[in-house]
Amino acid sequence: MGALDVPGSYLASDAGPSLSPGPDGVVEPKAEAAPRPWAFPPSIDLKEYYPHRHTSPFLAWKAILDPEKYGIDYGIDVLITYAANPIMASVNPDEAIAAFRKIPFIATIPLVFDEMSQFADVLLPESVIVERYALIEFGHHVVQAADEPLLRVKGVLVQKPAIEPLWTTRQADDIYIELAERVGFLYGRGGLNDHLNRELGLSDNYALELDRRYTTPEIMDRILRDHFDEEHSLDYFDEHAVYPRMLQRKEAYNFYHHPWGATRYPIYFERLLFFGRQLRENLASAGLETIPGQDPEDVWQHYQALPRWCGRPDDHAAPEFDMLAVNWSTPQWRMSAGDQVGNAWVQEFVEVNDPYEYRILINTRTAREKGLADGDEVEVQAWHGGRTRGRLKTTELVFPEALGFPSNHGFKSRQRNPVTRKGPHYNELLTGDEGTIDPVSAGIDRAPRVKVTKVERRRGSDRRP
Amino acid sequence: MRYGLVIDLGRCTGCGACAVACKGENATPPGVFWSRVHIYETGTYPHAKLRFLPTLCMHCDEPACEKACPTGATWVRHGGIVMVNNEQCIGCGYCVWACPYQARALNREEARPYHPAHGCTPFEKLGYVAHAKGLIEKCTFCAHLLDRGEQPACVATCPSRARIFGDLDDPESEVARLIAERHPRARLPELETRPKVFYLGGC
Repeated sequence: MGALDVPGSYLASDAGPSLSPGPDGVVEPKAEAAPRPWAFPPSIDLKEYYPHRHTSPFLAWKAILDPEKYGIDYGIDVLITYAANPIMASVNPDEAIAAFRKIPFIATIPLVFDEMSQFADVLLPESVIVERYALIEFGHHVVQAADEPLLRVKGVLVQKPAIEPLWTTRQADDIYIELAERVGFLYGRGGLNDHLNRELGLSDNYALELDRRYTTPEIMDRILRDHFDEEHSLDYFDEHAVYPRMLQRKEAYNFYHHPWGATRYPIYFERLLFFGRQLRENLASAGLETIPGQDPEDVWQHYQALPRWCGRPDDHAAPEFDMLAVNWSTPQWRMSAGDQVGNAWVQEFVEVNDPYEYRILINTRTAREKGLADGDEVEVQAWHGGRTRGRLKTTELVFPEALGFPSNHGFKSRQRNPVTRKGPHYNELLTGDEGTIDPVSAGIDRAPRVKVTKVERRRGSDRRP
Repeated sequence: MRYGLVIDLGRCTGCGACAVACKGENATPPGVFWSRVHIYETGTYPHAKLRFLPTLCMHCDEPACEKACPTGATWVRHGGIVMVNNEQCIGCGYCVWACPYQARALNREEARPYHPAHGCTPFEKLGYVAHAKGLIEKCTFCAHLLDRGEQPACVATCPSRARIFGDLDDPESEVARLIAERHPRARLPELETRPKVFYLGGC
């Protein structure tokens, strides 16, 4: 079984007293393990139907397009996105675009011209990284590292503007604060300041006053003095970038807070069974037999106390869908957020030095058996989901039944930095349709069954179809 | 004093942070890399391995490029760093041919911006002064940073600490101890150029 959260072992959860016992002595569920409270009509992202989901923007698009199906009796008048790209960074992009067309007003705070910018009525551009503030507290979240002292480091990283903004851009936080003031929900109980006091965990001495407008650095200064100490206020970071604080073992390990016998850990998932029953009752109270769109025969099989094999949504795909498409982060591009793929230096490094990036990787023997060769342009089509195109790279590094898609490429918007439009777009192979997602977590299947076919070109044609 | 670098191939993840940090520090234009990482594979499935080989100027003690330079533009400064004097360089390119490590390049055209449709950024305008047409491009071990007591950008940024830099003549330095204890290899030792960049592991 190994050891977790006891001195000398990995910290499996947050540092400190994170796993506390409930009234019956069994550790209380946290984060996604604790179901969201029921409400009907549900939120637009349907979290009440999937109370353990992490995030599910693709469900919001379904609800906007067909509100009646999901019991929603309201419309979405305004959408504001910040540095997010739900068209390309998630699944079902066509549904996202159709949903945006139904929303009367869209504003976006973009880092770059991307697909969301294209759909926005108003752009509120944010300053670039060297022009803006940032504060990142670390040590609160899951840490898995080999060195025991590293597990106990808790601290804060602060970034201050190195230069004044070159253009009429602003810090996103300040944009939101001004919007709140203009719309009329910055001040007073229930206003943005009140919300920030709760979300930032500010104690009474440092809490924002409810009748005053603050700037980003003022709020950061309060966070630093409250969460750390007066010595490590914002001024400290004129000369320092990071303040690391080593926690005492008693602070770091859950075991010291709840030693032997103080907390029991569940072996079975009986809570999931009970949560499922509760969800079923909630749905019945709204006149619903099952989660809208989900098979009533199947849904409740997932809310079980014992692990069971569910199979995959494309287990019965046609025989020619004989490969699994897999995707991974590379050291250069861990995710597509922040337009990492648009960084011209990184892009050039990869293009010059890395023969695998921007390609679809296939085992050399598999390629030979399928009559495919290195450099061939191919189309990859998923049994569920869509299709994408790219060039093959034959390699000995991948499993014979897998097609490998490094990173996330093939962005669509013509306004975009052209380097981001290169390569295949893996997300096009995925789907968030009911019947394919996990009814408990709304998780999507990340290794869809696909078939690969060579794109035949007419002689003399070098245009992409 | 002789500056030297040991690259531990067992720690290198091929992330390329060294190459990108080099670009950021030295404002090299598109197509110019003073620091590279060659990414390749060896073996067959299921025993294949992904390999990484970072390369840069080897700052040889007996630099072939210096011998090939007809004007004396290539010179060795304090610390054994092989440099190019842009005032003396006539852009003949002999040093590029002479370097057995392919660590040099000749700028055959004016430096281009990374985003041509938007022109040069202020950063590029400042940085491209040192990358004019007809000049030779190569790593300087970030000599300007060394003069300020800092490490070369590629060394400072390496997230897996695969690059260990220091004085080869100081037996107490980490780099000298690594060489004494773990016997890293230099590239192409048979050419007797005596590189000051060494490689650990990677077999």
